[in-house]
Amino acid sequence: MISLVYKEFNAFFNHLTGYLIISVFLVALGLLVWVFPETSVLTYGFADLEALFVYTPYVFVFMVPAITMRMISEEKKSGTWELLMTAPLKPHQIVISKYIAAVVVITLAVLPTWLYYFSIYQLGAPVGNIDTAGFLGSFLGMLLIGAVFAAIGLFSSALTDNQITAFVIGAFLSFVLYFGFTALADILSTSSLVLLVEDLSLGYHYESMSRGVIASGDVYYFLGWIISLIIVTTLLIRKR
Amino acid sequence: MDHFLDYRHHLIDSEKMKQQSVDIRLKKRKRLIVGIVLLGVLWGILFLLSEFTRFRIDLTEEKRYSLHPSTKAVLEAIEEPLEVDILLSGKLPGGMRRFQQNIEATLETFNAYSAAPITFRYFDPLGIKSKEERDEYIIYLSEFGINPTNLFATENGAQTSRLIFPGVIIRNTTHETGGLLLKGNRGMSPDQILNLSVENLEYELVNMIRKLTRKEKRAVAMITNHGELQDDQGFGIVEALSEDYEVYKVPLQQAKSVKDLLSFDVVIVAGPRDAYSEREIYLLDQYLMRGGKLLMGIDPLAVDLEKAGGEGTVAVGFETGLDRMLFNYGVRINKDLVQDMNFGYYPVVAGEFGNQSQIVPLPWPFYVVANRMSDHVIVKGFDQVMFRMVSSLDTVKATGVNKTPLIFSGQYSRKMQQPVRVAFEDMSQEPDISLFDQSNLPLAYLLEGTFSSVFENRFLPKAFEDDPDFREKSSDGALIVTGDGDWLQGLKDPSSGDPLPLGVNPDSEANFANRELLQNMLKYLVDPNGIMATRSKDLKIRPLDKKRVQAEKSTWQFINVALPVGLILVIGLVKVYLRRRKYAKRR
Repeated sequence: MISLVYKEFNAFFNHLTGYLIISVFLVALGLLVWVFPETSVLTYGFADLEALFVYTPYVFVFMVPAITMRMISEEKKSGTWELLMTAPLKPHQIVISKYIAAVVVITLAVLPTWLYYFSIYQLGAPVGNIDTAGFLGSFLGMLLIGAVFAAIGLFSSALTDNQITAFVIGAFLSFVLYFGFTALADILSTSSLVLLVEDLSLGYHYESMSRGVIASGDVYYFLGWIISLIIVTTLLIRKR
Repeated sequence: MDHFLDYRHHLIDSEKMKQQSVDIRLKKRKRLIVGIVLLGVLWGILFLLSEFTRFRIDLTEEKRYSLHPSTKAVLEAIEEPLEVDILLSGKLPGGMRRFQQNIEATLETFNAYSAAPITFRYFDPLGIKSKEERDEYIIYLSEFGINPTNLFATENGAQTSRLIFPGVIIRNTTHETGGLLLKGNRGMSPDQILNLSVENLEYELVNMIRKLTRKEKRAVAMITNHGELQDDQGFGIVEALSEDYEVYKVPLQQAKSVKDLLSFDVVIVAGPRDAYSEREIYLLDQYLMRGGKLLMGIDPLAVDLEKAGGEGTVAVGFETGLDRMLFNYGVRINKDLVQDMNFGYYPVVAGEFGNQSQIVPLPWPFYVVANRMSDHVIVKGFDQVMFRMVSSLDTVKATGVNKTPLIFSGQYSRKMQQPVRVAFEDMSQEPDISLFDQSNLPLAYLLEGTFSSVFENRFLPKAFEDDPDFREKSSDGALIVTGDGDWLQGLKDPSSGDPLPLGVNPDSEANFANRELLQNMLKYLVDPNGIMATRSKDLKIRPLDKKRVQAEKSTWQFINVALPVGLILVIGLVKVYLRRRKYAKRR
């Protein structure tokens, strides 16, 4: 299994596309957090990286499916899938390995944002006036939402043998689950369904995490999504 | 024959295929069922986990998203869903945005603890289309004290200003309440006001929720019959407290025993002029000894301002008998009057103009506008409070009693020792600041702890000579003393003669925080560890170094946008290089 994780991880970084995806992600975040006056921490004026944690899901919606899109679909298309299936691995082991690889890639991709932390640390008045523990908590929340998106992306990749289609489906599903339900809740605003819809929304559960509060309800909710999607993906690939 | 055979062969083949497809279908169905069962089990386990292993870790340094136990208690008792309208909406500058986000976050945290759901939405009063309805709604908001704040901002180099309503409306199915959330002291900078308001959000919001959900009122006694506030003069107290308490006027003479007082949560003594009898002092003393809470505004000196014209008059002392009692508890009210350079005005008739009398506001240093508050939750971040003829307080030794000063006079103040001459004449010129050589004289004290009875080791008053319930030491009583009784008395509207709420200033726009002060004092006395304690939350301001941000803006932007990408690319190049070398070696 570990060798599969390693292979998958290497496959991502042996292609120029991998670097491109991460670079685009980092540039987008950099612009949102530091340059665009509407969202920048510099205009905000407080040593608080809320912008990073609020806008990361927006960028994740595109980045994570791009990372996972080829993981299953491409193997199916190029025929290496048969090879993998005949390997002495159970289907769920294959899915979990690929999933772990995806999460590791996402973690590596967001790691450079620690630079933001050090910048704010320097810019605070006085220097170092930043809530470090709060930052770590928010960062953990950010990784968790990335992990949920990774499960969605992997699932999409198993649905089709075209990686572009996998990307589109993944991005769409992530978008609907993250923003769609929240938007729906806003529309329903007064109906009693609101609470149910809000409870389904990933964005709703991410909100307090993005502020550094790790609550059991949110964690279990995310874990539920991740494990469910891994189960469904495993069942999907066993069909062949 | 051949043909026939061929046909049979084909038949078998299709049969086989049928069998196979049935197999696949069966398998698929089986797998579907297995999948559904697995998912069901998973969510069941997660549900059970979330029911029984509830946790909530607030990683922020100041625990800014955690609630005080008393707040949780209020929230856990909510019976019906609450809806909150956040009136602060629209495009906002950084500080206000932070405030808005904090309102949202606080409400969400509330929701996490409350027994019934708390939902919120943004509602901009200025967004109401019809002008009439809009104006009506704005007037409705002002009933809750939500007045618009003018927000100035620089946008693209141009000054813009617009109105915002930094408050909320909270409703359940039957009632609606609301309040202003942006509050501070006049002397504070906008940043300080914002930060203080953020710190107080939990308190302000839970206070409103409690108002909506509270079922019974507590009882407060106002002692009468010693020349305390007369008729209308008590209006201010009743008005300020009627929402949360039932206020009763209690003539102490009629109280038979201390038991009659014990049904009151707080007893207020507001500016008595006549002496309390031994028996009455005994009742108050024993009330305190049994865990009663006293709020006492005492005027040791009084002035009839009607006589302050011309030569003026001299302040005369009262003997209420209460000062001895207070001395025993640990605080002494001095027979003096405090003057402060931060003063109020007294309207005097300066003369006639035609048939109209000319009223001139006279600078009146005897009206102390106090704006130095201690950090105690009762007064933390309070706006200024108006005292009229206030005496200074000193503490005296009383073992077991904690004495906390709450309010101080300003930086330039002085004590006028008896006999104090009071004349309008003296104020025709602005007072000379060099004479105000004292500063921050305490004007209000909170006493808590174990009090000793005034009657300890003494003969008891006749009526209670062998009172079996006499106590020498208190359990958990508390006492607030101010050197003035008038701050508890509202002014009158000069044109209609109607009494005004506490702290409302008929002569000018600026009001004082007297009403809130009274409310907070009572809230604290009634339940010191209750929601008042949530005001002790202390959030750090974490501003960026504005000068540095301005000077080095582009540098930091470049570093943070380019460097992470550069890092990734460097890793990529190294990897490609290593791969090349590996290849080269192999060859």
